[in-house]
Amino acid sequence: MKKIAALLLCFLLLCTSGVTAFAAEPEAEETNTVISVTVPDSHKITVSAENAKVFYEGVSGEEFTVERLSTPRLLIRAESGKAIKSVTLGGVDVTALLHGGYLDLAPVYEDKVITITTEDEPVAPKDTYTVKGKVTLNGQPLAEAQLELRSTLKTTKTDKEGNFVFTDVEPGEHSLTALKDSKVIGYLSFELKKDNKADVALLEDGTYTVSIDQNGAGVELHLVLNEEAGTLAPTKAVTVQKPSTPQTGDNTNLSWWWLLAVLSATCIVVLETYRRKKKVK
Amino acid sequence: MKKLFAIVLTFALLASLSVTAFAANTTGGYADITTSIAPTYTVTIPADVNVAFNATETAFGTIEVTASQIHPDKCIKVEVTSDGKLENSIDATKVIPYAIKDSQGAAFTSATYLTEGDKTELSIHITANDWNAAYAGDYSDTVTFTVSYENK
Repeated sequence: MKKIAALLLCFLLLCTSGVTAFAAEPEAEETNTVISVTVPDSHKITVSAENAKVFYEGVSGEEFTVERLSTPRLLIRAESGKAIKSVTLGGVDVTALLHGGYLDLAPVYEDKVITITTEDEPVAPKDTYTVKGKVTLNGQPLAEAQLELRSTLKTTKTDKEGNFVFTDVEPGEHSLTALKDSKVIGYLSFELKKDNKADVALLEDGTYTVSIDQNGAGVELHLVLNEEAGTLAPTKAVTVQKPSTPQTGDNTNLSWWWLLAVLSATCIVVLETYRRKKKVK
Repeated sequence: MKKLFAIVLTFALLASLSVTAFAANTTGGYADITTSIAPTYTVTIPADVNVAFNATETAFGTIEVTASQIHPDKCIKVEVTSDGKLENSIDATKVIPYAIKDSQGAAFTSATYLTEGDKTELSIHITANDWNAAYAGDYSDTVTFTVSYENK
């Protein structure tokens, strides 16, 4: 009985005793968030040009897709009778970066728009000359290549020996484009200039000055094609002499021709007179 | 022996008892009522985000305390840890550096919050130069938000 009373007393005491409760503090929690980005592997170069064409890898177009961070080389060529006035890339004037008709772009990291403006070529003087020569590639003649000369468009093809001829070429700014299978493989931008002797000179902007002996009939060039660079480099210029035999339309040295005509007429008259006298006898 | 044990136990229990004090009269005396409530809070952190190509500033999201019952001497701390560079999925040597900034434009590493509604708007910044130099490909980085309950 005493035991039961003691146990009951203990339970009673336990029930009435206060218990201190401690609230648990939250533990630190970690959560991950992912940031992602996709960088494209190519970009578009859109061409906006009037009276000019832009070539990439030998093919002209109005929009080119180039690999990201690549450094594409664009050929910019004015149409016949026009000259490049300005070139802007993404609104920045890059005309001064044109080198021999080519524009080497810095690594492309976004889509770009290239805008080209042209102007009329100055009116060419009446004198015309013959521009002829030979095109070689790695020391070998470049046969059957189509050549386009501008400003006034003239076209021809190289023969088996790589030879070509353009007649009636006026002094002034010109471009010569070499094509194979309709793809541009070489380009030369040059000024044909009257001088005292035939010569070629490379200018800082990558264009050439081709001098013609003004007493000659034209100039003969040796053009070296660099397929990788896409250039036609004139390495030698020789004066094309005027032909020694009379040519149709040749108005030079007319006095000699008059003298020759008078002498011929005199001979005919003398011979005819002699023939008639002999017949009378 | 049993009696002795029962007596000792009874004394021990008595010693540990909380005694309710009853005021002797209505003009004096006091009573301590002690209770402890576990702190609760809800913190929203930014979700996964895809940064658009060439974007120099992208909204990352908001760290916001949406419900809070915390001790007056405590605060909620949110800490951000990241490499600060997005790694190319194929070539880890190719990276795009970035920065996480708050609405003031300061680099964000951590902040403390006290009440419901406290928030920080975050944004991701990648410079134009870093974009321009980035190689093509997919890049990503994991940002860890650590939420802890700390003393002020």
